[in-house]
Amino acid sequence: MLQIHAKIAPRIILMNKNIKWDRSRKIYITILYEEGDESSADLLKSYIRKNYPNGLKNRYIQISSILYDDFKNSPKNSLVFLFDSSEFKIDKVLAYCIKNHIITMSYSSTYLKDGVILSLHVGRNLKPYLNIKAAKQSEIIFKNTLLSVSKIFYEEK
Amino acid sequence: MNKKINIILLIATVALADSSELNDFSALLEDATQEITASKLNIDYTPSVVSVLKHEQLSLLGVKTLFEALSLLPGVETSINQVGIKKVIIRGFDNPNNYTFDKAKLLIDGVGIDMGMFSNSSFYLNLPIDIISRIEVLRGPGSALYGTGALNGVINVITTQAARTSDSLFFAGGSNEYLMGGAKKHYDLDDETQMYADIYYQKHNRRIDVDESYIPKEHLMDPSTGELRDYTGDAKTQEALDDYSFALAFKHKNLSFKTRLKNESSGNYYGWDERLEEQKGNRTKQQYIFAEIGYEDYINSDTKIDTKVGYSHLKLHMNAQDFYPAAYRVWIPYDFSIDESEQRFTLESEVQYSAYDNQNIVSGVYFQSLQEMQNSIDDNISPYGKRAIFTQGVKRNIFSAYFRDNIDISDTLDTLLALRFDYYTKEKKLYPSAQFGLVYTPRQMWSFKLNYGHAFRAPSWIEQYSVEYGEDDGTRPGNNSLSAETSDTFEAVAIFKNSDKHHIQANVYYSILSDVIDIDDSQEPGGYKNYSQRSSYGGEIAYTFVPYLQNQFYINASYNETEYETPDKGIKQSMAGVAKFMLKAYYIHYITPSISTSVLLKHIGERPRNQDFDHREENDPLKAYTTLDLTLNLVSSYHWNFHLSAKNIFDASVKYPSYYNRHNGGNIREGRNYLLQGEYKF
Repeated sequence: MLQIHAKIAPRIILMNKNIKWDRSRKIYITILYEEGDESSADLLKSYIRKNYPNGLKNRYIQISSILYDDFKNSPKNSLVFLFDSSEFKIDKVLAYCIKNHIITMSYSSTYLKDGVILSLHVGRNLKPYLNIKAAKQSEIIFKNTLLSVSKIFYEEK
Repeated sequence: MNKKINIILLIATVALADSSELNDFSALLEDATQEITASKLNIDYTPSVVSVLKHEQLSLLGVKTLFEALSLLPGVETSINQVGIKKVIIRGFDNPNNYTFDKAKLLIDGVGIDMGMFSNSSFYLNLPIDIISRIEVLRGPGSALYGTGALNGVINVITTQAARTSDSLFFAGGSNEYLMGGAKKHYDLDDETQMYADIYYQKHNRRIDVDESYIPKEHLMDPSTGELRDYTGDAKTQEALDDYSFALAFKHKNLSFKTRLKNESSGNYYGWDERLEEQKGNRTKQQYIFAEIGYEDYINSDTKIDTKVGYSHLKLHMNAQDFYPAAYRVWIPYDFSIDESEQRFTLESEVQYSAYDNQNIVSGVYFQSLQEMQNSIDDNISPYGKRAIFTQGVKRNIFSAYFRDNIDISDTLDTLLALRFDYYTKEKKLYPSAQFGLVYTPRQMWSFKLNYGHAFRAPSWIEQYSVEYGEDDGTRPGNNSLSAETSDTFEAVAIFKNSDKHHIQANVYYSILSDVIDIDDSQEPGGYKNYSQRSSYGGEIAYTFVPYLQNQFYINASYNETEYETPDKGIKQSMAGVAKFMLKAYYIHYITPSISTSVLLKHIGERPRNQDFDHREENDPLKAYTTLDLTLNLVSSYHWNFHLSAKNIFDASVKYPSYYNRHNGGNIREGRNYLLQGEYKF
């Protein structure tokens, strides 16, 4: 599954209609993890580099993997990828990302209900699992390309 | 006018670009879907009950072979018979007094491992996990998908040839002078051409102490001279093993080729009739080679065709010694040997059609020709000389056609319909198989499945064509009017997933077994027959808890009740020698990202006695046993992995069923033992 996340995550960034590029025109991905998941974070990083050795559409992909406790505010982020953590830390990261219009993607789709924008849905077919409400809160508008192939997350009442 | 044309051109360019991006992204998702299907990550959405064991988790648990790995699964009991033939008993389906005839089908990288003589693939069960990427086990009927032999299960072994894993040198050593070494390597010749090779060799000299009831305490008489002598062996089993295998695979664009040779020599364990042989060393040799060429291509964007041509060859040679009661307190030792070779040709062509968004249709044809090349039994005691065990020149030609349709009825409901027809030309019999399944996923956390399957196992050549020569010829006459044994199974499954931390699966099943093939001891000279209908039912539950992405706790429990009819007296009872209740659990704990420990527990419940032997002074059920294995792992992210295991650490008394209950309480197996495994990745 990490390999599949690694293939899809960078592509999602380019489907954000409202993305603002800095002068470097780089794609910035930050992977957040807790102790115990370090090797999974390293694996995800290596898979992204392996899948996109020359970047994506002439944009270099800069990836950093850090502990949740070391996450510093960085509005450069194009996408923040979340491994498991406590509700408090997840909420803190999400609050920052909403404010700075950063796409959030999680390994576990459980965090969609907490406000993460995107995960993957494994059914008989694999589909992006999209929290449109969370995307709107972050003022992120995705292209129809993504909307047409995604499963839409609906919060259970 | 020019401005209007420019606007139209701009809109068309944008539309084309969007369409191109959509196609590109859809193709990426489709590839990802194929990956998760191939690696069974979406097994919760398939109707069958499937478990997947992965190399990484098996190595952390100190598991060494395929046989050991299968023992972890719910509803699966592993056992060894008196001559060392390994048995995998799924949901209680067994023949206690018969030589093993598989009720589950074994595939290695999609190639079925078949043996016409015994319908047995046990010689593959000591395959080391070093060359296994994952093991997919389907419990229940599988003939609609895999043909004959998948009566109650399918074991699909995906080796490191098929999965792109890291290359390595691997080695192991442990108790009983166990040594093993090997290597595996992938080569990219160019962007479209890949090669793979693996090789291993393993050996041990295991000898288990047994009591003196396994050796003739009386005198032995040389049949040629009439002189008396004492038994020259010792009270230890003969389990020496020499096993090697070599595999090669090649892929260029749409063309693929794979081959594997496996050669195993072993001792005869407790002896043919559970009387220990005097001779030591490897006495049974089996060699199996298979090769397959495949070609797959897209006819158009929705239609894929996959054609395979295969060949396999099996050679078996067995030397054995047994003892004949000549007079009071006098036994005559005699030697006999069995030789058999057979070859198989297969041709299969399959079309996959996915034009409809909510359907995936597969249809195909299959041809197999399994031919006996030679078979014989020879001994130095009977008057019959070297003779055929079963009719010479036997050929089994099968023509098959199959159809499968996976339909997404709605966002929450999927269904599978599979039909297969296998026609056996020699017996002029048509065996249909079917599977119908529903998967209902009302919410992401819940899945419910209902599954029905009809499956069959055609009789082996021994069961059908064994030749009777006369009294004490050492063989049981075949029955060429035997029908295939069949099963009709109904299953219900519930799955609960809470994030990726908790996964619970519970299933219940009920099977109707018809025309069960078993030995017939009710009259002389005995033989084989189809028995009347029996039932089998039970339940399995498995829980996985993953606190972090690496630490893992797993527990499963199963209960099974399978009817059995004893071959001699026709007593109806619970399946003899097979546990009704089993519990397995393990916990893998990471101390640091590189260092972890694991604990593996297996509890096998009491196994009912065979009531055909109630007339004997002692005829007890086999006692339950519990084993505990501990493993310390060092897995570095660079080159080296090490796993140090202490197995059956409390030296529990593990006993397997005795042949014809010759030894009350069963045959003792290995106690505490140790294993060190290492791997250098490059």
